[in-house]
Amino acid sequence: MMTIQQLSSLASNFTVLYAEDDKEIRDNIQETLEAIFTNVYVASNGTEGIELSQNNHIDIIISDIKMPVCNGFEMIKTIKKNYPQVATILLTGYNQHDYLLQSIELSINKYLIKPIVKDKLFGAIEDILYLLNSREKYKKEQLCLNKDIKMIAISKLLNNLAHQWRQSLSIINISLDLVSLNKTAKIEEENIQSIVLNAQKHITKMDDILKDVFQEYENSQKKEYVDFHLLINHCLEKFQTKFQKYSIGIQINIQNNLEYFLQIDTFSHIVNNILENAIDAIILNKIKKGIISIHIYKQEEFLNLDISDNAGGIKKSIQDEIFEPYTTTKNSYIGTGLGLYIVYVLTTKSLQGMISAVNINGGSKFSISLPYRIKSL
Amino acid sequence: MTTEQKVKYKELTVLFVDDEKLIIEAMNDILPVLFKKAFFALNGIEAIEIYNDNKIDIIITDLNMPKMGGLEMVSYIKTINKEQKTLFVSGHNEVEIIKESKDLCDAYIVKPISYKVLFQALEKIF
Repeated sequence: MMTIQQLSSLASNFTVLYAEDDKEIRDNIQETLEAIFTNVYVASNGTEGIELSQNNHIDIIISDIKMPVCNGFEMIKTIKKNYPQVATILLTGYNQHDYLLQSIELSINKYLIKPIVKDKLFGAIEDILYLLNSREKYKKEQLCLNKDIKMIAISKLLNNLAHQWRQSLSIINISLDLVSLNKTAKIEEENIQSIVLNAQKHITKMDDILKDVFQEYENSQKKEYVDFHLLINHCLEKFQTKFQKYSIGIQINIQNNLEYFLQIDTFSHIVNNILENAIDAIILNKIKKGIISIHIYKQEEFLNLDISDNAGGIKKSIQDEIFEPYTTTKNSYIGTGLGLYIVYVLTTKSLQGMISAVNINGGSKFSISLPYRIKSL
Repeated sequence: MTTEQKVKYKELTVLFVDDEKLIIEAMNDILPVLFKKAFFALNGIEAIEIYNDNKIDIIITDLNMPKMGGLEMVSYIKTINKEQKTLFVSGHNEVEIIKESKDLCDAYIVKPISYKVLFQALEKIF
């Protein structure tokens, strides 16, 4: 049997919803679960469980079957509509075949008979964690693979561009040579005109090729379904060492059930850039308990991303121009002055959204609003 | 370009091989000015036919061409005339290929072509 520590190291950031109506059992198991998982949401009946799942991301459900108001099966059935991938452990005081059939229908992963023995519960959790970890690993690999495929496509595009440009440049060079060799070669005035025209034609051609390449690049940035939890975790991973070194705390609040499609690479770039700015500000201003919070939610017809920090805020002198090129929020030795400008261009041009930055209680808040559209539109 | 160079190269007959028609057209304007005589071919096979009927001092060739590429063509011509002078014109990502087949070429230039780079390369050969 695995120890609590071993299970806890497998548990990473997975969240648990635990539902049980018997207070004594609930308190007991809740204590054990909290030793393993960082985020445990506890409900005393199915309705409470469903409510909790609407405001929080849930990876694992551990639930009693018989509960007042709404039983375990009904609760899992409802939650699965939003989280089809959620892993489930059912706890029951009865050993009835009727339950088993319903369990199969709901693809319950584990089924434990009360009273709950520690090693049975630990064994079930271990199995579930292995399942979730391998799923997570697969997702990450897919993400990397997609990136690689895109990189190859882009480098092919660039090779093509380089080839065609060199052809045109050769012709322009030769044309210039001819004009400069004019006297030696004794070329007719008329011919020189046509040589110059030809060179100009090639310059236009080069410009057209460049436009085509940009168009093709834009098209390659297809909209994809975003799992915001996965995307934010992916972005945060890069800064993990800095978070630890400067003890920066992260608060994430992502609304569930967001059905959103966008250009993932572009969006990641925006998030990374704003995060980097916040981290740098915390470090530069020597903030002891740095906190960055990320809030993603839908409001009316907009998807909103708020990233705020407590690093002192944006200096008044540059507040109006932080999205202009060559304005740096940092010390001029460090900042390039382009980071936020690129964020601005990507948000407004590529994603057709809006961006703003304001100072709020001791820090700054960057807000991005993107039009909320479902895939089919 | 020194007068000395001009005179020296004015004595040469070149065979220029490239599958890009636009390049051939542009070269058709300038090579006859720079050299004694210039022949043009769109691929290795055409080049070999011209080579068989004419005395060529220097072959200037592209690498990738349909029917027969530059390397294949030059290897064949070298079996007829081991001493044949050759100059390869390379795209940006083909330099490695040329370096691997050193014995086939006397010099190479990287696109874009201009008469200055062309003459600099010829300086190495003649």
